[in-house]
Amino acid sequence: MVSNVNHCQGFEEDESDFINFKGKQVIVLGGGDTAMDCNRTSIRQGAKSVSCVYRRDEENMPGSRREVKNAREEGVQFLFNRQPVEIIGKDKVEGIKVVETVMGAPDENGRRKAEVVEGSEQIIPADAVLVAFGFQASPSPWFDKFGIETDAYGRVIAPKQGKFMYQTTNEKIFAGGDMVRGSDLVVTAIDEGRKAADGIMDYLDI
Amino acid sequence: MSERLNNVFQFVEVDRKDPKKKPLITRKGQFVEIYKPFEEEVAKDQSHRCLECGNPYCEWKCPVHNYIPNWLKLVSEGNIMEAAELSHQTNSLPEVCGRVCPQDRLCEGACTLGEGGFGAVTIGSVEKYITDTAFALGWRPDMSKVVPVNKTVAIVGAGPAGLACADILVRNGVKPVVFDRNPEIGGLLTFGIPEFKLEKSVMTLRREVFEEMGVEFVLGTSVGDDVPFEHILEEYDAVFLGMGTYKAMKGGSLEKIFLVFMKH
Ligand SMILES: Cc1cc2nc3c(=O)[nH]c(=O)nc-3n(C[C@H](O)[C@H](O)[C@@H](O)COP(=O)(O)OP(=O)(O)OC[C@H]3O[C@@H](n4cnc5c(N)ncnc54)[C@H](O)[C@@H]3O)c2cc1C
Ligand SMILES: Cc1cc2nc3c(=O)[nH]c(=O)nc-3n(C[C@H](O)[C@H](O)[C@H](O)COP(=O)(O)OP(=O)(O)OC[C@H]3O[C@@H](n4cnc5c(N)ncnc54)[C@H](O)[C@@H]3O)c2cc1C
Ligand code: SF4
Repeated sequence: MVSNVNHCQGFEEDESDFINFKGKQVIVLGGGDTAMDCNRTSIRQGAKSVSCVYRRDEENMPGSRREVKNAREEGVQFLFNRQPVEIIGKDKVEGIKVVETVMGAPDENGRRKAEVVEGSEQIIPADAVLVAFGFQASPSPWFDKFGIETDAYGRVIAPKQGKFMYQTTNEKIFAGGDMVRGSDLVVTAIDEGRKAADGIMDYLDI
Repeated sequence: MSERLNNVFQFVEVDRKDPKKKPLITRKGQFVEIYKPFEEEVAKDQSHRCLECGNPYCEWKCPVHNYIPNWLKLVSEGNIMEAAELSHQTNSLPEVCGRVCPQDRLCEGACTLGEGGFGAVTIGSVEKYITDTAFALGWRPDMSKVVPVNKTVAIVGAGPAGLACADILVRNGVKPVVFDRNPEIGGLLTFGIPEFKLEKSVMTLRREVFEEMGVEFVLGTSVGDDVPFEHILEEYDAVFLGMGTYKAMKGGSLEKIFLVFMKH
């Protein structure tokens, strides 16, 4: 989708970066907001069909309700309680193997786990499969050299409760947004940027 | 209108109404925002549904604690310029949040009217309406009282975190210089979130507004590659990093993964 945005904007550097789903049977894996954006982007590219495969049931989907509703209106099919296990196809994608699941007991976070039903494997045909399982932190290789420490997940350590808000382990450097929180929201990134500015001004004695 | 302003039961008589959506045929074929803007009268009517709760849950639930009932009141009275000024006291990109926040989990999810079964106030749509309308009328943030303090801060990343940091600094007389490897500001607002939720023209206008306020942008420049970080650390009084996350999660046992997302 990043490349689709680039395509629309004329920013792309390399034509092959752009993937088009016109006339394709598209399967999107995942039930988060990333998945909804993939679904709806594929529809707009003129995909023949778009199916969203999610391992839990509708009630347990993490995506925003509004976006799920918009996706459905635009023609996205939802397949719930299907855990993807394998993408089928040699040189090109031919389909995806899934197993059915049922909702089990809640886990330690109170979220109900999806339990696999034995012998329920099936193959859903597809020309393209999009994996939308979220994003992970991506610390820059030069952080170490400047004493910028990260946690076990690669997120930069810059606590709100520090001496100066959102100061990193290098006193002159502050940080905020997704690189500190892990992928989250626009409004939380804004909040941290604003508070970090206050932290910087305190540090500079302004 | 005076009749409406005196009606404290507006929320009973006027139902919650979201802005109209564009026809499905347009939505399926084009990368354009799916919601039409509010019309003035609808925005006023919807804003006036607010109960002005003494201790507003919506404000508490909003991560930047917007003064929601206060600007809803200003809109219902037709006072857009003051609403825009107030809205910018707590949020650096209110027109963006109005479009992309998950309101049903945040402000609108906490609205007393929603809990009472009357339908929450359309807070996000009004927030977007205020700034879009004020900008169109020529409103700009008031910088006339800002006194420069002779400090410069480097910001790496022009996403929402970096822009918000620059906004507060420049309003307090600090000069922000924002570096981004992309050719336009916005981070994922420009290069991630699809146009059917947020059209790119929104960030183009924002960039003009920030530049007029005194924020300097150095775009198409990757820190650590095009500019060594040493230089930045030496030349500026402090540094803010707002570089986002750009690694896709691996799909467990799935072997052949199609990655559309990752360019970086
Ligand atoms: C692309 C994108 C779009 C966003 N859009 C919105 C939006 O429209 N509105 C909004 O309010 N916020 C949005 N956000 C913010 C979002 O709510 C948060 O950043 C956060 O919830 C991340 O969402 P996600 O979809 O990336 O991942 P998640 O919500 O974590 O979803 C990942 C999905 O992948 C599934 N999954 C992961 N691993 C596996 C596996 N091995 N097998 C099977 N399934 C697996 C999970 O069950 C889940 O359904 C968006 C974020 C991103 C990155
Ligand atoms: C497809 C998609 C849809 C989403 N939809 C929503 C939504 O609807 N609602 C919502 O609330 N959230 C949504 N999100 C999540 C939201 O976009 C992010 O949480 C938010 O943008 C994070 O802001 P940030 O400033 O931390 O980082 P980013 O927006 O990622 O900005 C980081 C910036 O830093 C720059 N940068 C990084 N390294 C360097 C370097 N070395 N030198 C120069 N520049 C550098 C990058 O180019 C980028 O511009 C979505 C995310 C995606 C991917
Ligand atoms: S839409 Fe506006 S008021 Fe609601 S949570 Fe987001 S920033 Fe706050």
